[in-house]
Amino acid sequence: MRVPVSWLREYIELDQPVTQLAHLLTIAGLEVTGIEDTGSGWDRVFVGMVERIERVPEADRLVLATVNYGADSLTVVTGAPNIAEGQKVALALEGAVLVDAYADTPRKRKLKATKIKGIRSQGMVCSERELGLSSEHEGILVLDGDATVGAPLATALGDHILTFDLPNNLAYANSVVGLAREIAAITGVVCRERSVPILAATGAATMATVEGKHLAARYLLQRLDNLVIRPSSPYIQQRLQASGVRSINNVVDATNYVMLEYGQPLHGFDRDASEGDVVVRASHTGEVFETLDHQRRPMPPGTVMIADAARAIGIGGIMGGLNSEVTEATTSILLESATFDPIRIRRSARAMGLRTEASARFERGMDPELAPVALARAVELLVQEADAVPVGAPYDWYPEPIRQRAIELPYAEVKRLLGVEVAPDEMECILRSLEFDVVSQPDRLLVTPPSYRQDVTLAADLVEEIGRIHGYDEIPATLPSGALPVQRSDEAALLERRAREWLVAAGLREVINYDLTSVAALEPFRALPAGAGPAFWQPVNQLIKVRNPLTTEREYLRPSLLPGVLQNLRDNLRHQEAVWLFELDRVFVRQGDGLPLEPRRLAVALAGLRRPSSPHLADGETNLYDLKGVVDGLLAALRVHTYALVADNERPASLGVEIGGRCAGFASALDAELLARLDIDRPVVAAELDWEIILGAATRATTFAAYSRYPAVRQDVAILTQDSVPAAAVEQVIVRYGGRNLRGWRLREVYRGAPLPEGMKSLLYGLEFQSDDRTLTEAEGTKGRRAIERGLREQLGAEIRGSDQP
Amino acid sequence: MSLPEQIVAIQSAALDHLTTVATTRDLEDWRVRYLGRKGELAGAIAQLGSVSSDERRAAGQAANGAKAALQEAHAAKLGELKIGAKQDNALDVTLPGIAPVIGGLHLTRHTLYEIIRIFTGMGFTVFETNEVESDEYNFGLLNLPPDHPARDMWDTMYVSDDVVLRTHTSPGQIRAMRQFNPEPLRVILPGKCHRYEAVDASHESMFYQVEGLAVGEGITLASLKGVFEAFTQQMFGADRKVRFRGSYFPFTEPSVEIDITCNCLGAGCAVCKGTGWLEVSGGGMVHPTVLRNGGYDPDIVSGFAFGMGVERNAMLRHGIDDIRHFYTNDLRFLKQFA
Ligand SMILES: [Zn+2]
Repeated sequence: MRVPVSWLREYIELDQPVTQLAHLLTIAGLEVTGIEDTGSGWDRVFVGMVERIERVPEADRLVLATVNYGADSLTVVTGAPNIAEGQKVALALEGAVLVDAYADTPRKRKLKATKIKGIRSQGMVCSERELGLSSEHEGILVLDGDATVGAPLATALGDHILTFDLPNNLAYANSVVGLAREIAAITGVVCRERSVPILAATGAATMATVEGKHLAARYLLQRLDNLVIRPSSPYIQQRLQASGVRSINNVVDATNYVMLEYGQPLHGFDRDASEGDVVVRASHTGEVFETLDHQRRPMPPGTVMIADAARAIGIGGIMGGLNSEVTEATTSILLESATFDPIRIRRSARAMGLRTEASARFERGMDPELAPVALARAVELLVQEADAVPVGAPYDWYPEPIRQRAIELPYAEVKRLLGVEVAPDEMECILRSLEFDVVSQPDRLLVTPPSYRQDVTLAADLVEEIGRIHGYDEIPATLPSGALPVQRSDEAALLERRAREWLVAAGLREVINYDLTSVAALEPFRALPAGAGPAFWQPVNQLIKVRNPLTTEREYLRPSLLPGVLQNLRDNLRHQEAVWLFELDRVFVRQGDGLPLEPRRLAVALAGLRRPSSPHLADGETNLYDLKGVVDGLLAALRVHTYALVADNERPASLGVEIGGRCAGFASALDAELLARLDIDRPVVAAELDWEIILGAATRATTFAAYSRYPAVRQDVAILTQDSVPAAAVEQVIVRYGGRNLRGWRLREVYRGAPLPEGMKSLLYGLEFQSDDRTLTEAEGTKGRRAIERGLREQLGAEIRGSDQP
Repeated sequence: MSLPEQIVAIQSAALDHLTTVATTRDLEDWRVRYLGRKGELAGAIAQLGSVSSDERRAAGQAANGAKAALQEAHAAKLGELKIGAKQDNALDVTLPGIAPVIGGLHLTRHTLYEIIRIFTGMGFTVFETNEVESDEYNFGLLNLPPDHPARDMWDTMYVSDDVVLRTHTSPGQIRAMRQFNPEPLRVILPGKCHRYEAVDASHESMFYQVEGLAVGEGITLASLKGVFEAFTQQMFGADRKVRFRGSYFPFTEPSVEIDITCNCLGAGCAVCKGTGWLEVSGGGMVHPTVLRNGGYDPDIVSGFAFGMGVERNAMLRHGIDDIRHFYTNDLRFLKQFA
């Protein structure tokens, strides 16, 4: 909402600088988001009076105007069609800086004296566009007749325009009068109420039938005859323009003016458009109606229609009909001021996609007591502006006058909620300044809000009024008193954090992706391992779809993290040599008709170099063993004792992750086809795990195990075996034959190729023998190694290399 | 060979050998071999007792001479090697070190963890709830019945008529209160939220919010100011202050906007548009209806609640001018913070 300060001054004395006023209002909850100073650029522009107009020879569209500007008169050549003798105009002298009305892009220029058709033009009479007031450039700006000739234009027309961003509950302040009341309470100045002429009290004919109060709480209609349609007075045009409303004609302008001034939307119907009484009814099934903006619209069920016996002439509270529009030819109108049902207006406006200034105000709830006041003010204006003659008294349908209920406010409640002591006197004073009716009792106030404050119904609402007017700056900062609530530790959140921190320490970077994705992004993952584990891909009909997505790229709730992480991987590979990513977050799984399940998953995707290239190290391309190491290490770090990484027999280079015998996900080198579909041209290894299973299996703390204080005996065993024998099988034999002194083993080397025969590999294991109670001899180590060698020969047919060693 | 001759031979062999020594380590081996306790020279000296007295005298002199000569040669060589080491270009210390590979948390997570750390320090407990919520929890129980005009404050993505992507973490207020009433409560509710909102430099359709809720006897708007000030001073700096402005949220009464001192410390800059203050949060006293919906008696207990955007916090802390950086997951962005 844009409000000229000059308009506010009609209602309230304002002494403070406008920036301070803006600050006070902002703190009290009426946020001023902008202050515009309209007169600041108008140097060398004055109020002039057009003394004489002469034709310019050989130029039909130009006139020579003599304009007096107090000190002197000068002549200007102008093409303005609306210039007339006796007008007060904005006269710019040489050197004034004006908006270039003919430039395509906003630009300013300095005015110079020129010669037009051989006649010297010493200045310029300005249009609104040239003054930067609006885009209007059809004619020149005509000032109000009261303007002082010779005064700088800024004194006649300069103003500050405040822009407000009012919260929903302050609808009552969304007008000049409403703001003036708020300013009065905040600054402690008394508001000047305008005395609106009382309309005729008798002689009201029945002019309307309202179907019921479910459509409108109040409905007033005033007939006005003898209208002359013409442009409004300059002051009305200027105020509308400053408030951001286009001037149309005196009748439409008057209703808009009163809406800005009092907040009440009004509507004028051309009386010739309707026959007989007005009917306020709900829309008929299938009813189609053409609104003022030339749109034929189907009326949603339950829409409030303004009609006569035969046809509708307007949509109540939203927009008038084209068939009853006030035109140049209009001489008589029905002026409507009503309190339409907020919910009905809201539903219809939303259903139609037609939200107007009027509908926005009605859906927040209007004060029925305001309707007659606004009507009277509009009649007053129309009498002045359009020579209107009111016929009889207004018709006023108001079946159930509202009664404001008194609210009890115990004094103690203010301190209980605000934490600051406010004296009862001050409470009373604040509430009275807001026009609340207050009765004081020994321990409490009985407070009745004015009719326009239907938002105030509870003691807490009154506390807010007291708080914001008393000033939130007065509230101290104290820490909560009383007993501390039990602080609960969230094991799940702690474990998530431990996992993230471990992965970060392992060199991975966390990503966070949108929950919403597209079918196209999911489709390539159709071939991901499904099996008995968590579903990483789901058919479209199993996905959860958002009804009103912003784009088709974000339409479905993700069933898996991997598509997002792989997209991040692809994007980053364009400029990073090593990309190791993880995401630990929710996916969404349909669950009957209820809210979906939101299980968490962990996705890891690695590609590029194992580590950034260095002159000291050989570059290594990330492979499946990096991924296996990450998964293995993480599960061990989270103390999941029951996990196993098992070869997936159905797909190469793939591991199943089993926890407690359940499939918890996979870790794979992604196949070339998937990578091609994802537009990734480097090998990628990736895993996705069901975090909920990990969470269920992780254990809290390790128990300390004493370690041997005696030295270990270390021996190596190198074997030659079939390439097809998995390392896991070798290790099983090592464990079985190693004896009780075997403490550990480590695969140190795997070798294939010359001089080994085709299909063979050699494995080198380091063995460690140790006892808890004594120092083992070298011979005991040898004995253990020999036992293992025997086992390997017998069980796997392995050949022991270098078996000549003692 | 007589013993003196042997000693001279050892001396000349040692000096010959020394010319081939190139490292301090080899020099040490050389010293042990010739001059050590069990070295060659010591071995020759050990034989002094078994030779004639003439030969012994000559051998003794030869041994002393050899020892002195070798020690001098050793010292000279050692100095030479040390100087040589300094001039050795093989080890260019200006070459880069081998950086350990360390990853990083996402900036949002990092910021969220920081916020959680501060609030848990003040006795708050983390409480997480659904992202896909019923209309009832997201709006209805928060004093926003259907057709309430204030619903327009949240542009909502719908899954069905009565299921939405939560537009704020506030539904967690009801869930936490219902779980823990009538006990006093201090929780923070972090999580992703969604809005049907055109994306630009300061608006995202998905963002993280952290909501704080304290319910109990004696909780006031002043406590909210105290808690938020303590948070602000830990998060942004001890010199920051907190300011309340009147506002409106259907689920708080009174409602306030919470501003903190700008990075310019009130001088006015482009970030705060000259006001010296930054809007970081909205909150207030929990509305009596909401308390009642959570199972508390609003006549006895009171509560404060506030909500803030995690990304906005991070943007203010790090001078990030475009929220769209966050979920693009470009490492050129993420690597700058962790
Ligand atoms: Zn600043």
